[in-house]
Amino acid sequence: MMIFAAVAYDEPQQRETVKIDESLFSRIGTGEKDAFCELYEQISNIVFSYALSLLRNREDAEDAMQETFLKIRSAAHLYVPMGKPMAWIFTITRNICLAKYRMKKRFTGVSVDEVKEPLDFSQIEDREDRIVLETAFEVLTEEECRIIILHAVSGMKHREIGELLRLPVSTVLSKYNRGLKKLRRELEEKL
Amino acid sequence: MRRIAESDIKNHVKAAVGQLTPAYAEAIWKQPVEQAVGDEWYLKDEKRYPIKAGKVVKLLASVAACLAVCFLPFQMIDHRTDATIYLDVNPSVELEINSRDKVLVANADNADGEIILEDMDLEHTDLDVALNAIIGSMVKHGYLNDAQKMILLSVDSKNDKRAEELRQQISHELNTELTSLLGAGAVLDQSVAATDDLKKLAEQYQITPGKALLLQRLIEENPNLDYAKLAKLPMNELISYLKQSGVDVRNYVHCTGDDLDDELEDLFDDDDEEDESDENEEESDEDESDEDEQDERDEEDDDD
Repeated sequence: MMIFAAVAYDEPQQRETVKIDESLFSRIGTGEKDAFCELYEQISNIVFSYALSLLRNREDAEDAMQETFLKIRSAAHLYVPMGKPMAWIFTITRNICLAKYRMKKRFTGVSVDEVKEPLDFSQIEDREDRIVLETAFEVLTEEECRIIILHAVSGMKHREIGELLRLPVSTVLSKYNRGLKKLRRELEEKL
Repeated sequence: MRRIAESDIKNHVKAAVGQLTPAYAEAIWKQPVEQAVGDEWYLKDEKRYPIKAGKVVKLLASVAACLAVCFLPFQMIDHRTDATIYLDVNPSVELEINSRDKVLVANADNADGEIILEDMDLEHTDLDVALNAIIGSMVKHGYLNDAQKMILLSVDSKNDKRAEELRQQISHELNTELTSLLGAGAVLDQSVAATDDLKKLAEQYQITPGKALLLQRLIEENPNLDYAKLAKLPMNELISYLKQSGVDVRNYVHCTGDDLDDELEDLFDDDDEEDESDENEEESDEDESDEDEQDERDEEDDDD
């Protein structure tokens, strides 16, 4: 696994769209609270949306996001600036979500995709915002939903989303466009 | 029914997620943490994803389906090319499809087309999915952008009725796609019969037989035009150049989509007030146009 990571990092680097000051990690590692708050402010919604798209449960996504930031604090001193901090953070979030998924399945015997309870988005005050997000989770496939939400929340390019989700860019583009069409069709009825 | 723009959807999603994301920074900072040493489970770049029970069943079903397909008589799968779809922007690509609108072969007709099709395995995909991916790739690579949003679509089929249906269907889809991705767009479309001579000509100039035919017809009626010069121009620049030469492309191809007339009108109106000196300047600017195009593509790629 580490070999894979090393090979991945040897590829020609393209800067991420989400521009994170990589010195924040060393500062967090030395206990600078301001650096941590700055990082949290900048990416918490991206981490949360990614966790939400993986776990499809708001409380679990909140837990996963908290845990991600705790692990970032734990490992910030190990971060090697390579121009791809989001890839490093997404690895942590993905591993935490995977662990949560396994844990949930072990204790309940029910997998996430078998629990089709509707997501609770009642705390979203704006009606249209709420309907759009609810509809996205209702009508889109998991990957379509993940790609559209990540693109909307982070502004990441489809190429970057492809790298983070390990999907070919053509697949990301195709799923994005198809998902958008489905979502638009539904929303034009609802809004 | 209310028309919803892509940007509106993205803004709503972003706002909704923003309202859901808790502000836990202070609370997290107060919690004690142990310093990681580097081999922690959460830092490992696992390739595995959560495999869900339903997915295992689906995976097995897919394998079974694949095996079943392998054992089907070869004749049962329609491998015959029923129609060929040619697309020219500057990248030129062609798709051979069967009677069920499945892509049999996807080919690039020039180097830009190869960039567009790079890493894309479009064989056996539905035509609409393939078109979707190709247009998305053209936008991603900057060949289609706010300044370049015209596509030449050419359809070749021995069945005239089928060619006409495909032409109308695809031009509508492309127009929808352009509108979705760029806010507006223009599709010029035509039916073609790609003869061997036309294919050779297209190969020589690294364009599709569709564009080769269009240029041939243009030259026949306007012998002052230069084939080689027209062949290397992207569609927007080609139409702009034709306008300056007093040629209305609408006499040669169909114009599809609500926005197309506006696009063409804009293009045809833009230059009305320009004097001949602009044309002379354009001649001298042509050598620089490749560099400018590349710069624009780079910028567009950054904005993607």
